[in-house]
Amino acid sequence: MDITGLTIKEIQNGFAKKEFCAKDVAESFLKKIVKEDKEIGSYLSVFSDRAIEDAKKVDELREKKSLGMLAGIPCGIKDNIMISGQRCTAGSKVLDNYIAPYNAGVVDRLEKENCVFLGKLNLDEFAIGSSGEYSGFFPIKNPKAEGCVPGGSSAGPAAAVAGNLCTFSLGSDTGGSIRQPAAFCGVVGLKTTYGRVSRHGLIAMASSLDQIGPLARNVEDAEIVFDAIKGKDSMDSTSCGDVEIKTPKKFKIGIVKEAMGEGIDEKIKEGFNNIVKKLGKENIEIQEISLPYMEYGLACYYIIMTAEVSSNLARYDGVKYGKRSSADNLLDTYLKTRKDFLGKEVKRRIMLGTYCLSAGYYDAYYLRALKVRTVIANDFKNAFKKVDLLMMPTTPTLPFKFGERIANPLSMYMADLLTVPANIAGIPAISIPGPEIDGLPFGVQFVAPAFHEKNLFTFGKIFEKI
Amino acid sequence: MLTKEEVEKISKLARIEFNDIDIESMRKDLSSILDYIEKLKEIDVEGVEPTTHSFDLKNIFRKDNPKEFKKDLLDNCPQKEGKHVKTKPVF
Repeated sequence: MDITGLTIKEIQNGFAKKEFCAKDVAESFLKKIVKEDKEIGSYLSVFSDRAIEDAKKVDELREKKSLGMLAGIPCGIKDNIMISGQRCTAGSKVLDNYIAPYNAGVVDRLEKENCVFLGKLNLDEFAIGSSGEYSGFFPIKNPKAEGCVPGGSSAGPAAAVAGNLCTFSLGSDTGGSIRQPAAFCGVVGLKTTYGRVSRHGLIAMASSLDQIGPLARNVEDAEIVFDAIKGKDSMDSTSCGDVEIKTPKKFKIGIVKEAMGEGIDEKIKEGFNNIVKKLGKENIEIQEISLPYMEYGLACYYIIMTAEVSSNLARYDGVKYGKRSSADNLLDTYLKTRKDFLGKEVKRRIMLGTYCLSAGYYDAYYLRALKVRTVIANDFKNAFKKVDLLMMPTTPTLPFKFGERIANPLSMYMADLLTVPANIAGIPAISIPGPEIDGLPFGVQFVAPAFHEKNLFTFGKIFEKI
Repeated sequence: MLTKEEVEKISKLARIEFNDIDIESMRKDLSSILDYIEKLKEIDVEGVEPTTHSFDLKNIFRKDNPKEFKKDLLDNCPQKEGKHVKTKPVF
């Protein structure tokens, strides 16, 4: 039996029936990583010894007492989330030699559930990118679409799940960085409600937008992982506890009109419409919903996100950690360190953010964008008065080829057109694989009101069966 | 279109050094992105409150309990002396 292709539930069943033990599972994955990840490039570090040790501990504990809900389940963690004592690069050369001094909140929680960590996963530098081509180390390949990018920035987390190199992974989503690669690699990806999952120990990109979430084989697995990592953390003052919500008996689904307009590939529209027709036949209530300000989401995002990036990434100055270039005085140390060790796209966004925040431009760009943010969030609030969930394609196009967009930053940014609005509004969204189009993975996105992840899971499981 | 001088000014503010070729490509890229962002001017935001965070959180406090200084923090410094981070002189 190939253990590496199993879901969390299937592995748990295997444990229960004593078909294999946690050590067998860890070994199967480590073997596969050694054999196949040279080609895919999803891991930046592999915990060969630690994973076996952790798995052995699970096997010993199993004999003695009850274990955590993810006992012996092997996972990979995006390399912008810290695991104490392990290298943590955020995909950047400037943190090439950085050793995490503490665990991220989510890592603490997974450890408590006796999860087995296989290693740290590759990403676009500082989670900035939509193709996996901006990793400071090596690009990631798409195991489900030859010659195509895996999407980004959680390229490693998506590719590792798709390539059966871990059972689930954790990624981070600032403007689509979990959902977009999940769609391109044919796996499930969840962006959680802002504040629902602790950001403590996540290397910050844009703090008002960043959220950690799972990538998994199916909706059920995503839900299991979400339940393990969610909740208030005293180390993240923006995190919050559970909120009571109602799950409807019969879901009302809103099809977002603006997500079927300009900039959306005809093949995506066709594939998406076919799914909508199928849902209609299943007696699911569907109506068209207009989000008139959604088209401004991307422009709004590129001001807020770059502004936050420019301040968050100011810390990479060669003083307290990371790489330092040699220079005669402190100012030149800053200038040269940042020149030598930050990648081109990261520099571009720092520059744009600095410009938008600079004297004379603040009101015209940043303040205006914050107001547009309110307008976009209201769009969603109004829509959720009429429907329970919104539905749209996750991406405007199918997976694109390597090198196709790298020369034109704006065309790369367009890949996030349909995912960015959920981050701006702080609401949860999930990408679930639909039927392939021309042999390529294609993701369908569902968006729910804040704290309504449960509804995404409930309907997501119905959707998977259709 | 941004001027060369404007890009140079931003690069100083951002503390990133660029050579002339990079300045030129940055000028081109930033200008095209800024053109796209202009789109936001189409919206009337008169009287709209800005949103800095998704949720209206009030100050959340916890006790600031001092803990033992972790050696690992200093281990990550490019240069140190004793318990101190060492840098180049400001002047």
